[in-house]
Amino acid sequence: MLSPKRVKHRKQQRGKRNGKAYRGSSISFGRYGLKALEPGWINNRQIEAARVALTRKIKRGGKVWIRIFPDKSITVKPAETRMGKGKGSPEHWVAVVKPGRILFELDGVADELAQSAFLLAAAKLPIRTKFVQSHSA
Amino acid sequence: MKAIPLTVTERTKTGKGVARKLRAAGRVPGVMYGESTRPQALDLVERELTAILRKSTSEQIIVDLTVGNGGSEPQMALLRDIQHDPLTGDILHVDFLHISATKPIVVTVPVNIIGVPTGVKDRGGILQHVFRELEVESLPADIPDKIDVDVNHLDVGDAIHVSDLDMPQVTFVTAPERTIVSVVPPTVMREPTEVEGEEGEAEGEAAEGAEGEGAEGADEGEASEEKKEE
Repeated sequence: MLSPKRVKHRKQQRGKRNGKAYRGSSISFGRYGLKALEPGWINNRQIEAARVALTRKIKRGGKVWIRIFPDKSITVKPAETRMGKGKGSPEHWVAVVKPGRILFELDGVADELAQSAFLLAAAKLPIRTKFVQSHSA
Repeated sequence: MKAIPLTVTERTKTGKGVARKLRAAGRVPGVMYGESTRPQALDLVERELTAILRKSTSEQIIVDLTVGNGGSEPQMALLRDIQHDPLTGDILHVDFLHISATKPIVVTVPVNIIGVPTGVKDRGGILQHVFRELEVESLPADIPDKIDVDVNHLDVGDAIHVSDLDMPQVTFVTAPERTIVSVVPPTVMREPTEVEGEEGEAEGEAAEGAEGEGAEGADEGEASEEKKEE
C-alpha cells in the first residue's frame, strides 16, 4: 500500500479542503481518467482497493496511473480513552483531494472497458467521481 | 494554419466581480498582449469561441481579431492560453498573443497517431503515447494543424522520437531525443490458479512455522504465567 518512506514530522494538523484542484485537474498520461467531484480524504487502503478493481477488470493490456499519493498522516486516540494527554498515534495515511482532481488514469483499453473499470474503482472511493476522457487522444 | 476571424469587444472594467458577471451573461473575459501592443482587456461571446475550438484539433489557434464592432482592422493573434474550470470544463479566461505574419512563433501542435502498431495487433503490446503535443517554431502561415505520426511498423520495444520526424517547414523546440510514442509489453495479471497455489504454499509454511515455534511459545507462555503469579 502507498505510504511515505520517511517524513519530517509524524503528526500533522487536519487542514482545510476549501476550493477546487487547479493543479492535477487534467489528464496528463493516459486517455481516460477518474475525476473527483467532491473534496475528501482518500486513504491508502481505498486507493489500493480502487487500483486492484481497475487492474482486475482490465485483466491484461492497458496501463494504470495513480495520480494521488497519501502523504498526510492521520492520528487516532485509542478507544475508551479520556480526552487530553496529547495527540493520538498515527493510524493511517490519506491523500487530500479537492474537486476536479484526477485520481486515476488509464490507457490502452477500449472506451467501454475503461468506463466499466472506473465504475468499479469509483465504488471503492469515499467521494463522488466522474469518468473523463482526454480530448487530444 | 489558417487564421479564423473572431469579433471581440473591448472591456473597460476589470476585476473578478466584472468577470463573474460577464461569465453569467454568456461571455468570456480575455486579454490581448504582445511585443508591440499594450495589453488590452477584451470580452467575447462564449458560444463563438467554443464553436471555433470544437472544429480545431488544438487549443492554440491563430485568429484574426476584430476589436469593437468592425471599426478597427483585424489583428493577427495566437490563442495563447485558455483557463478552464477544473470541475465543469467551462472557459474562464482566454489570452491572445499579438503576432506578426513575418516573425516566427513558438506554439504547441497536437500529435496525431496514424494506424495500429504491429506490436499491439499481433503481440498484445500497449501503445504508450508519451507526448500528445510538441512545441514547434515556425512562421504563423507554416504552422501545421497537427503532426501526423505513422505507427504501423512499430513492434514491442520500438519507439518514435522527435528526431525521427521529418518536417522541413518547422523547427522542433522539444528536445530531439524525447520519445513521442513507444510500444511497451503488456502488464499480465497473474492467473488465479497460480496465486492460490502460492497462497497455499505460504499458508503451509506459516502453519509449519507456527508449529515449530509452538514449543517455544508454550515455554514463554508458562514463564509469563509464572511472572503473573509472582
